Amino acid sequence: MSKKISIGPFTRINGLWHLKVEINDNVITDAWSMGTNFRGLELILKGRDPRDAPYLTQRICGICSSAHALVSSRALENAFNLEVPRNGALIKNLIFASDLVQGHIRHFYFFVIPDYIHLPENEPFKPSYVFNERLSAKGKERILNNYRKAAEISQSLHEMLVIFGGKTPHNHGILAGGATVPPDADKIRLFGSMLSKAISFIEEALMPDTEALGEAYTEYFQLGEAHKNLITFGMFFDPDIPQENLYPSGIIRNGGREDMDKDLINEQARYSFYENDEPLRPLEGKTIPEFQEGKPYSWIKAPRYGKDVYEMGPLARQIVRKKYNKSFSAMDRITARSLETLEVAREMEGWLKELEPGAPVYTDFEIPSSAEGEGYLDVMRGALQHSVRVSNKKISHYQIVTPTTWNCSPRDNEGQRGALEEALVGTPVEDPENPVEIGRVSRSLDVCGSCAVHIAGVKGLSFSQKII
Amino acid sequence: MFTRRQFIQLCLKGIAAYSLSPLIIPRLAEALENLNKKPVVLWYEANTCAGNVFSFLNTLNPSLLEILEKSIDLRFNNTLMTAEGEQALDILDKTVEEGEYILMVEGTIPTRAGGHYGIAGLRGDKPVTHVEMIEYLGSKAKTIMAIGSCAAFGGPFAAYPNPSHSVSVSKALGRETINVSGCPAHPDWIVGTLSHVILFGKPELGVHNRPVLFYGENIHHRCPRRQMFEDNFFAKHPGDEGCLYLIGCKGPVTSSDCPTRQWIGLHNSWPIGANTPCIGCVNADFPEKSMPFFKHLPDINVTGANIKARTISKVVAGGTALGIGIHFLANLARGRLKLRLKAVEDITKKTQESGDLEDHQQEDDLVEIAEELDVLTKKEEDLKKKLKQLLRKRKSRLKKAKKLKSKSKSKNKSKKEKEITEDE
Repeated sequence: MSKKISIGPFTRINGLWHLKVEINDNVITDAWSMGTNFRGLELILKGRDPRDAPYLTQRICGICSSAHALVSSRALENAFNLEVPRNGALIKNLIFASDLVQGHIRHFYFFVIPDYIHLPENEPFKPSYVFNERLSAKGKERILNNYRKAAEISQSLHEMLVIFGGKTPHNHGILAGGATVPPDADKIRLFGSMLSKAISFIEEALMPDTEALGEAYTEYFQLGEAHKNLITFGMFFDPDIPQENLYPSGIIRNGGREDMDKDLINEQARYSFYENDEPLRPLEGKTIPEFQEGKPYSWIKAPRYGKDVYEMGPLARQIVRKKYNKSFSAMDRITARSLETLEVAREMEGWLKELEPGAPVYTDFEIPSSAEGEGYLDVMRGALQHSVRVSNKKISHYQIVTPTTWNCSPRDNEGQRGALEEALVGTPVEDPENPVEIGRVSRSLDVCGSCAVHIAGVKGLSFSQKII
Repeated sequence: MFTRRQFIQLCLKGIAAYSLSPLIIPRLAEALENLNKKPVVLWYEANTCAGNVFSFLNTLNPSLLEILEKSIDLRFNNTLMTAEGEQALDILDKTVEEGEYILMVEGTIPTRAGGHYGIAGLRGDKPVTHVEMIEYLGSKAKTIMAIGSCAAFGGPFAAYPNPSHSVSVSKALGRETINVSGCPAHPDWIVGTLSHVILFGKPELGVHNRPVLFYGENIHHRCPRRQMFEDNFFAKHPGDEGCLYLIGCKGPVTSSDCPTRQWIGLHNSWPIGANTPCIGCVNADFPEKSMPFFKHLPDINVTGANIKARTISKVVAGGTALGIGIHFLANLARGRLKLRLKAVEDITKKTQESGDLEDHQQEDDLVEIAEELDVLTKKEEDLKKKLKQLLRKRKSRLKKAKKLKSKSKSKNKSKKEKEITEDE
């Protein structure tokens, strides 16, 4: 028996997303991932002051805004050849890491948990799909308790971000050239006290809850595998080596680790609402939005590494860094995310200690009349890339490729499904009227609709230097 | 039940407290206890970054979250809700059928290609656009709140060249909305305005239909770095101490209670506290007229007034630029006050002549101009007073000197002289 299910809006993600799946004999046989909003921020950036990019690009996303500020500032620092002071790099890391930990905690409790546990019957927690709960009453009660605590902890992580960022979402503290708030004893102490609270929450709530979920739903260690190709650009600023990342980049292919070659990244648009459809490298950006009825079904293009489909995120980072070595399933993604949350929070303690009160955080600079640069950095959901070209002191080209466009891409020119689409295929659905399994697999990839919907290039601009 | 006056005092008190919600929400619950029906609230995300919903989540500690869940009927919220797909759309259908709900919208409404640049949901295979959805939801809403600058005014994604032809909620609907602007809106502004709407109806709205309670005060007037401005102590680059005016601060033309309320919860900081300029994110013309963020006079073309200038020494047209330009002039060039005042009057006249007063931008210009005029007139009066005093002093001194002179000249008349001094 064949049945098609459309899920729009696909809720409990950041932003808007839509899904279509085809179910045959209670197994998903095909899926379509649909980014159906368009904003075109790259077009808006054209002709503006390059220093504004870290502020304006943050407006792409409300849950990972600091990620865009960070990568945008890196792209400009690359273009202008700036050296960020050690203190500045550390503060940038701290701002971004608070946002990352906040995002991961909110993702686990607010987005993932309701797929496994019925929340109390208050709005907006009703109606929900009907499914059997496997966790014990005691275990459930603990998780529900932690659901509420997660609200408080994620808020205090945002308060930490404000100490060095001024405001959040959309902080002011990350700029090309460094950070803006010089650390002092008061700020370090306040930050540290809130951080230690967050770490105990991660140790005492997030980790055991993740484990309990994995133990109760063991089949999800087999379900939700995509193409088993992983990629990471490396995460965090290295405070000692300017323009280098602290964590390494790399790819996992055929079960083995290889170095990453940036030049193999390309975007394909046969199934997207754009005029042209030949595979193009993001820097060559030649995309013209054009809504078409018929075959195309997404505003998101399909980024590929060479010809292959890759997935990214905490799992990719953990496996490339040899911190985790199990499989590529939905539950592996959730587990790796929680492990990373703990690791990053502990890393933050170290950075905080390294801050040097009184030392500079920012390098002032003049905008050169022409320049070009790129920022490659992993953020919450995977690898984020900003490319910028400056002529006459104004932005003449800006291109952003976000993790969600990789993970949730539509089919490419060869007709290969995106990672999310592939992950869904083969997932059994017990009751097609209550297809809770779709959410369990999809949300493990941490879809961010907001990040994906800005995509648009500028016609005919190319980076001559970078073309082979 | 507490009165509106008490409520407003609480909102102001929220500035000193941890945050506004712990003060308001328990009382809200108390006030609503006696009602049979909980107020129904829909939080609808149009084309948005979802920053406002996360800002809203930043206001709630666990017990408050519980109280809020129990006191209002927040049926639809893309980020938190358990329902998805058709179940989620059913909630909307049911609510619209019942009517009498509060609609909170964040995000812009893309209108390009019949709205196909922004899809809200799928009914079967058929996409429903944000334009259709907002018309549908707006039709039966008792109150519409536009949360964040995108919903209120169009925001960053409606900036030039506005690739998705996005508009604000009020423009898409042709109906007044309560605008809680900001990029994102402060958690207290969201909770405070929602509570006011539930308890006392529409709050008093000021410029651009924003609640006066939160957007009534100019940032520059309340800025902790105001004295640095007066003392000509200016920051040279972001991250530097000092007034940020010369590196692009839009505080003088922005009205919100950020300087006193601060961000968020523990009130750790705010953009100016982070040594960066205010970018005027609550303004109707954000980000267009706030950009470049790090230049103090945006070099922009403005319709309505036909003056364009590139330097600070000239009066520049456009809401933000005009306000800032005049403010600076008032402080640096007091001697030429009258000349400046005339320039202001000229622009006011021209703006009026263009006759396009429905345009919010021009209204904004006029309000800014009026405010600046008040300040300048007051300063002029003060200076005149001082001048008068000085003149009087000078006169009396001259008189004394004259007397002394005549004293030394006519020793014969010393007797008479004595009498005069005694008189004095």
